[in-house]
Amino acid sequence: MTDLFSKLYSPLVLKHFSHPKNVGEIKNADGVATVGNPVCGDVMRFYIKVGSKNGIDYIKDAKFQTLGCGAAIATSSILTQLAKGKNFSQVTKLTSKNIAETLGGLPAAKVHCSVLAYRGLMKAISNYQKNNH
Amino acid sequence: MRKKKSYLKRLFFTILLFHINGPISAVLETCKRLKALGKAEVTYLPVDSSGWVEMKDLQEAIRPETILVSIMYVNNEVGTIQHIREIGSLLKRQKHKVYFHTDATQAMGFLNCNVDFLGVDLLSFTGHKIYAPKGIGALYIRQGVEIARQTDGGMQESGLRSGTENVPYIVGLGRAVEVIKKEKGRNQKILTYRNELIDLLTKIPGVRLTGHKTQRSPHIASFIVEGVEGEAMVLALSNLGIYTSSGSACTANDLSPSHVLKAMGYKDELSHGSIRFSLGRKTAKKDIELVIKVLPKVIDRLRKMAPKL
Repeated sequence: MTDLFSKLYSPLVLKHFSHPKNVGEIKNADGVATVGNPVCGDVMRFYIKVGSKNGIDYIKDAKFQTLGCGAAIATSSILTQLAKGKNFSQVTKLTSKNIAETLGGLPAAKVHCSVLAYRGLMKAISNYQKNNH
Repeated sequence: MRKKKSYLKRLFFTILLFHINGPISAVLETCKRLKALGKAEVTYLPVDSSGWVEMKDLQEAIRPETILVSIMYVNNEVGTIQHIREIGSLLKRQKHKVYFHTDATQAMGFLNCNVDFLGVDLLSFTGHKIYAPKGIGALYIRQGVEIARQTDGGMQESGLRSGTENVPYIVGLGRAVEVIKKEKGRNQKILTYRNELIDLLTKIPGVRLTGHKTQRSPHIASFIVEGVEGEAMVLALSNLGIYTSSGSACTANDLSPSHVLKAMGYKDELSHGSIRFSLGRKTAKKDIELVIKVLPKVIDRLRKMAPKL
């Protein structure tokens, strides 16, 4: 079965599954969002801490919590890694395709995990923007 | 299936079925196709929470047009053993002839598969589950039961399945069956290991055994783990050299959760956390010990990663 998984998942996906980055909660998060639902089998929650540099908001810190398959965990992990240090306009330019590519590709059936992760982060940013007007 | 001249009169025949998921998509898909062609009506029998077909549901479902009942002997996902013999007796008591087919793939080598004991007209099984080479199976057909031929050609296999016989594989299947007869002690050992697995894993909080508690095959143990997704468990265990399967939607190409668990009444969110172990000839004590040692840690790590809902 390891063969099956190595044919299914790229080395980076496997790495992010076994050693995910940025797992956890941010206690005083500036933005939080939950996407997915247990009925579908994947739930992701993103926390962001927002900083300001030269008057532009950027993602100072990002953490995630995920209940889901290997791809769900890997995509949320890599997304938080990609998002940190980026301003909102840069994050918006990131697409779920970028996530999949950065991971070295995802099987067709798992592409939706990268879409869900992306939506989750966007929702966290919107949550921050709503609370800061 | 044809019943000589009366086939033309009986444009519809109904098939009663309990074959959900697993390798028996062969049966399911065939029935779907017959239905789509307008040649048959298919009734799916409900099951209780252990996966058992109830006798009264079966009796109620039987109609004058019912021609075939097909019920899996051992469910491949949860290991529940159906009362095939009792069903055979029930069908013999019907006013008209109802053919009885069972798939005995997961029962071979573990349970009594004698066709007279079971009271079946047809019995199928695939060889690789009893260590024959992959790619051979068999269908027992009771004398007097007429089957429509599958392929046209050189009329091999009594005209039922034309095409040159796969001799080496047939020999492999025969040999596999011979070997079963010699391995009498194996089942007891497997049963002991399975029980140990069940006893110790169900001690983990939020872990439940699925399928019938006692009427279950010795070699299958499938669990639901709350707060964890099945494919993630399968992946984590595979990294540790333990190969399992799951009824989680994430493991299926079509992303649909296990129909078996659904039919047994488990909500989708629970069936996503399923993990299945199957024991075999090579399973050793150290394998069980390894699972007991690592699974709690895998579950813990995955639970800690999940959001509180």
